[in-house]
Amino acid sequence: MADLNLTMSQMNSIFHRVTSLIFGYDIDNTDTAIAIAQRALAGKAIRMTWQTAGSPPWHRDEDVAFIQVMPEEDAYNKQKDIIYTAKNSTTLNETFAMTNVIAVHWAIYGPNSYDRAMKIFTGLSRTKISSELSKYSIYQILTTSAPQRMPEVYGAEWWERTNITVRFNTTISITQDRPILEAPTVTIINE
Amino acid sequence: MINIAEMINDPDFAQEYSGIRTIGAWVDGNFVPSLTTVSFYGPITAANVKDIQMLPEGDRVSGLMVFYTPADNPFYVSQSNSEIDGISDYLIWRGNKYKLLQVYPYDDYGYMKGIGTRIGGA
Repeated sequence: MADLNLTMSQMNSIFHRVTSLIFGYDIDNTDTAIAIAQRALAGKAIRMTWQTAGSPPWHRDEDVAFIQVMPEEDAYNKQKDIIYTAKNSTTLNETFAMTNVIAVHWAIYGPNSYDRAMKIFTGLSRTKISSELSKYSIYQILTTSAPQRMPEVYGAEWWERTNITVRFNTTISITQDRPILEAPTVTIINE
Repeated sequence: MINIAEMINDPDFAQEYSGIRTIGAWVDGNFVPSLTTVSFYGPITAANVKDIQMLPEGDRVSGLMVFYTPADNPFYVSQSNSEIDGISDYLIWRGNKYKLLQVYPYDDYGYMKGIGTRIGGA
């Protein structure tokens, strides 16, 4: 079995894609031109935070969601398992496996911020979305808190903002070869 | 209104410096920049001292510089409109890059003033 050990960059891409699908962007349209146009719209409307050099601003009347993927402390990621299976007569497969826990935060701005947060809240449970996540061994922890509406003042105006945080279990599984100790070398020294 | 661009262009004060204009596009939620080199000419002064922070991981160097440019050759801070998505210009002086944090729009007097923060940490 191939290793499962998602990088932060891969998780960012997965949750950007999932959010695009939940918001209804037709990014998988079989018409390539439509898919490209929809990906361009989703690419700007759903943004990953912490762009190295900063990133352009957005407007109060623009629906923009920001995603943060963060590792999370949890009792489950304390449990680690190492399993050995025979590969051949001289080598073992050593598989290290554990459950990792992540929290994904969506900060959703714009006139439709609450509606979009509710789409996240409900959409993650849809089969299409949970199946998409399960491809990468990502599974929602079902005790998700409701979206929190928290408009913020900026430039003497109130900007609509709704936050939602969802936690997920992910699988880490890394397999490496380990040599088998066939026989020790024993030397008997008679004095 | 008095136009003091002549002073900004005065070779007794001004020097050549370059900048990097960063406009780009959003791709899968990441801002992918496209860089263009621009040339400027104007006085450069210090806004504060070049200093270091001594951190357990190592020293970090920082500093602010003031850049001037005639109004007909402006520099930009981060912007987003129907045509352009871009972040603040980088200005390059003595081999170091400074990202514009503030711009004083004195266009009516013939010039702009910007404050840039040294980037790169070293």
